[in-house]
Amino acid sequence: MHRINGLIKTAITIGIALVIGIIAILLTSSEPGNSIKQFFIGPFSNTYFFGNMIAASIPLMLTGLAASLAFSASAFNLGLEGQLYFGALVGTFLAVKMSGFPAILAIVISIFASALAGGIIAGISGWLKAKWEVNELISSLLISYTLVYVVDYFLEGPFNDPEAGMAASPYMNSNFMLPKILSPSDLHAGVFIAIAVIIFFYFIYKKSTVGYEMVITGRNRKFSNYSGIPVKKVIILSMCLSGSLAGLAGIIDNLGIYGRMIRGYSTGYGWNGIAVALIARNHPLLVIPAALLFAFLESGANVASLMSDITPEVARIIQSVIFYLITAEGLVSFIGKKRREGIKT
Amino acid sequence: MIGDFLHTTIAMMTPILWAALGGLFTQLGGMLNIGLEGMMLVSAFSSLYTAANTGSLLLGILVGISSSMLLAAIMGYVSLNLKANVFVVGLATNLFASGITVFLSSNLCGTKGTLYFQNAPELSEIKIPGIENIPILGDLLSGYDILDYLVFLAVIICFIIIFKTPYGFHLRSVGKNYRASVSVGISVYKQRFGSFLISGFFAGIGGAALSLPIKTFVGGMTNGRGWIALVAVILGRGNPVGVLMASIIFGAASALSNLFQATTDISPKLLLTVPFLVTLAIMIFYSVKRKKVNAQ
Amino acid sequence: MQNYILEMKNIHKIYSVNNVTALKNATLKLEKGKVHALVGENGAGKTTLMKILYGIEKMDSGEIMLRGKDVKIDNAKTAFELGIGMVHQHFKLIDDFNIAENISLGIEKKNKYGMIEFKKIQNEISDLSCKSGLDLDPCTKVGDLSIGEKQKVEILRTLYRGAEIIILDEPTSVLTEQEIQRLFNTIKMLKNQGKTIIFISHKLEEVKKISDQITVLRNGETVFTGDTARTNIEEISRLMVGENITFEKLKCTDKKGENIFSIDELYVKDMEDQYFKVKGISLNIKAGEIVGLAGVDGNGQKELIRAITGLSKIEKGSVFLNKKNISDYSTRMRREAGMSYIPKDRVMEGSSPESNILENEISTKYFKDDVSKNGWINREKSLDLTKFLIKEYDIKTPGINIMVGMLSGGNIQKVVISRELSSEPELLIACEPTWGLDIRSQKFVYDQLEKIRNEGKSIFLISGNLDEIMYLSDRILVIFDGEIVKNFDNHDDLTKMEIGKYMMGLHIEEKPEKECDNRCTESTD
Ligand SMILES: Nc1ncnc2c1ncn2[C@@H]1O[C@H](COP(=O)(O)OP(=O)(O)OP(=O)(O)O)[C@@H](O)[C@H]1O
Ligand SMILES: [Mg+2]
Repeated sequence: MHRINGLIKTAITIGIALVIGIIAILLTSSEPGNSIKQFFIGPFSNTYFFGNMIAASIPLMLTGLAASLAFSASAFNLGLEGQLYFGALVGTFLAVKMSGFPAILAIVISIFASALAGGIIAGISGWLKAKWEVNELISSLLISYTLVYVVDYFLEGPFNDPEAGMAASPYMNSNFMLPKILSPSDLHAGVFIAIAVIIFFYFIYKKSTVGYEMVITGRNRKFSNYSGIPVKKVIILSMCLSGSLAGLAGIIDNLGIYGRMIRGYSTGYGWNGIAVALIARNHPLLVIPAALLFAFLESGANVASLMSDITPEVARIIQSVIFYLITAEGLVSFIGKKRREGIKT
Repeated sequence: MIGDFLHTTIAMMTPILWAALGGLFTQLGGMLNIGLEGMMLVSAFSSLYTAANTGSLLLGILVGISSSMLLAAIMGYVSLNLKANVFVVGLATNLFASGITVFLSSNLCGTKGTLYFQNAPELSEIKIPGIENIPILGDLLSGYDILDYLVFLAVIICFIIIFKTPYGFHLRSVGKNYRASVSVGISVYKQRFGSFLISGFFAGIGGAALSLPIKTFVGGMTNGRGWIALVAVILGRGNPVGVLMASIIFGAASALSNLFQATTDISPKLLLTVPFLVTLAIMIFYSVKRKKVNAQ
Repeated sequence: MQNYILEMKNIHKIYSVNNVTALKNATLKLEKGKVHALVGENGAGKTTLMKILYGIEKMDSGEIMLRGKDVKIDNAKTAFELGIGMVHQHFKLIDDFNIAENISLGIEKKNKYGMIEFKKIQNEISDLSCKSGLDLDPCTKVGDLSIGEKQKVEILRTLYRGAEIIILDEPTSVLTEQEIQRLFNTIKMLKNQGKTIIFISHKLEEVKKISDQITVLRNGETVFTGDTARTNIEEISRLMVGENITFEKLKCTDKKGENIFSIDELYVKDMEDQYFKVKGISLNIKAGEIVGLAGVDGNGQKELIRAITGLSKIEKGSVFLNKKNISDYSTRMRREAGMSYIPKDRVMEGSSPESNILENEISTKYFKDDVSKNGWINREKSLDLTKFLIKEYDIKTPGINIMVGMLSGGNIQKVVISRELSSEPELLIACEPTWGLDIRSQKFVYDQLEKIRNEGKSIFLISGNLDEIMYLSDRILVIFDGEIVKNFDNHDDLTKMEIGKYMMGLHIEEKPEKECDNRCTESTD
């Protein structure tokens, strides 16, 4: 009951946010009709844009899941960006080095290596938290910043492809690339991996003892200790899982779209994953629509700046207006002029 | 050389400390302000642009502060009145800032790239006569711009506001236990909204301290300083002096990284990690020590 | 026509979040300078009525007249400007602030530069604390105070704000015998100073002892108002719950078995790991025996229990359960070895208020074959278990998916107890199992404890309520300053006085009234 009410409310809130986005376009565009159309319909207008939109949602689904998993155990993993980037480097490196391997084997190893690398990095923050109560929010953030520079160093130096003319790794064997869907768009079979992973984790979260431990620990640590739940293990484990999902999110674009790793290819997947998780209220399955919504806004902005007079900056502004309001629970009652009761005591 | 190092430390510290003082207030009210980065960025642009076009530094700084406070007010309104998630609102603020600054830069100045205002008024270095020429001490104490000096005054003022005035007292009570505060008639909303505005005020100065000295604006020039400020806030444990210490550590680590860049041939990219690693190491060190002192 | 200082008439209140009718037609009339008791079962609406009076809940309809004038109280500020002060059932204090800061929060005195004059405030508070007999050092951090002292701070705060009507919401449920005595002295003194007091309690003996008048609420309705002197406990209890509930002291059984649980020379440090709070405690509990631990709060009970249950580190000494040394066991291993634990804080420690009943019931056994297999929780089995426990322990809830935090205090405690007893423990540790529970729920808890004792289980009962200890225990241990100072067999001729003597550390008389000087010795700024 409560959940359904919440969903309707969220839907209305998102609706209002989108309407305000439209108003923002009306204010900034000299051909608002076309701009609105490009922004909101553009991503669906042909298979190319549509495929790109879905492709853009893949890493977001995974980082969104990564964030929601950590958050539901009350472990604040803000280092997704670095975990993702580092995981991608490790996975790409192996993929490049394994060029003689059978494709399936290489792909599987590369994916697992990325997940492992991301998991270990996040696990360090979890371990520091469990052992010495080092604030995981800050430690993961600082480690993440460090790693982004370290990975950039590798892409510019030791792991650079001199022929690329930019900071990028050598190409991997093209057989290792995940199958394309809706060619010539960027969409690839990674979308199935992402959805399968989300469903798998949904079951872990809902039905397994590990999921139970994470949820209960996230809600009340004192109660978990009292009940005999191994709280420290749970925190480390949820950070590890979260980091491995980030690592997976990192490698998936390289295997699916680029065939190598390019500096800065992640357009804030880690940060946006946090937003996705918060929009989805940490619910693993709702991460899918939330990531799609996010990717839709991203593609809408791109399409609109290609096909109308809206520049990329303006698109970003419109996008931000929508973000401002997307979680605004109070918007519905505010619009309905029914001010909620004061803070409950 | 030591003198240079100390001087760079302070210069590197200043913008972060300004922003961190802002973040401190929202933190005391019980909220993590992710939007510092965006507030700084908007102010970095608007203060420089105003200063260059009016020839007045003061006006530039004031406009920078106002624009940053406006963003803060929006953050406050959306998260407190409309009850949006403060984290998402912070991310939206950063996104908005990165969009609006490039938009304005291209519409007002005709470029999306680096903006350099040759005619902008100089934020001159103040040389303190007498001290200026003493070795090391002279470097440490003299030759900064006004915003570098003022930030120390700001630390003291923040200390007084937080620990001596009713506003600071109420804000701290809200952050520690808002139910208790409500029960004695304190408005959680007013305290928190106020803390957003103060946050915007200081982050605004932080942004100005970034662009005015070099008369340059580039999109995304804050480059994670808002986040580092947030780290300083948390390490500072609710005390402006603690925040100062944390910012100094970060400034020193940045200066160290500069020093290595000049004296060794380690890749500059790797040296950029030094400030983060040093901060992390110090944080772990303190946690271990604290844990030892009062284990469980 | 009586002259009332306060009249609340026909108050209605429905909580919109869950559609609970908390009050219907509730009425309360206070005479100046009297102690007025407000009684009723858990959930009868006592706290709600008081929150309305104090301005932190809104009523749907009804009127409030203060000194004959209609008043509208819509926030706490208005309430204390009108001279109404409230000491909440759950204290509203900030642990990190000191006493003076807590008391002055919201009404602090400023100098002409707008700075708070903490010095002046401290002096005023120490003067007031001497005058009112509530002896407190204004510079102590509230987090370091015992519960009784925190309550004094709350009362002092109402006085500092000039309260004429003081609401005490279940002030005694968390206090020890001695502290209750002191509280009653305070109440009498306040009454002599002309203050009007509203006193809420589940313990009718107390009500009888301290109050002048009494109002009984039942399901949100006022069902009785009158002079306490002209009623008796049986009548009030019948009015409250519709039946007459009485307690009888448990008969000691002589079917005691072997030692199930023993502690040998246990040493434990405080939470900050600085001093020893448990200093060489040894004890034994036999099968089929209830051992009560009496003591003034803060004498090492908390640390002892945490060490026994595996939540804090043992410095020295050992704990044995069923002849196994469990000193190095984790909490889970101890539970597996046959230990169960009902904690003092049933809301924040004993349950997860944001989780539903099922999730709460399985927290100690989700990994066992009863409810899961190969790491997957079996929905049917856990549902069956929960349904069974809800029925067996008569937990009143609209459904299994209800968040435990939405249940009444008595029913939350039933959730805790059902979980702890369903694992069929050899040893049950029960801390303050009836805090804040009404008579009916209290009776339920006592019956459960009696039942498992008769099944041959051991129970270690820790309670600040001496009546409770004396009702239930076969043996009574007294803890003082981290040591067991006395071991009584619970004979019929054992008196509270006798136990109290040891609880206070072998001193019969209270220490001589020390001279009142609470001025801060060191400045805080
Ligand atoms: N904030 C709230 N939101 C929703 N329902 C509430 C709230 N507070 C109380 N209730 C409900 O209102 C009813 C009356 O509660 P109240 O707390 O006034 O009872 P009480 O007489 O003080 O009980 P107790 O003796 O347990 O303290 C109960 O059914 C309770 O569940
Ligand atoms: Mg109550």
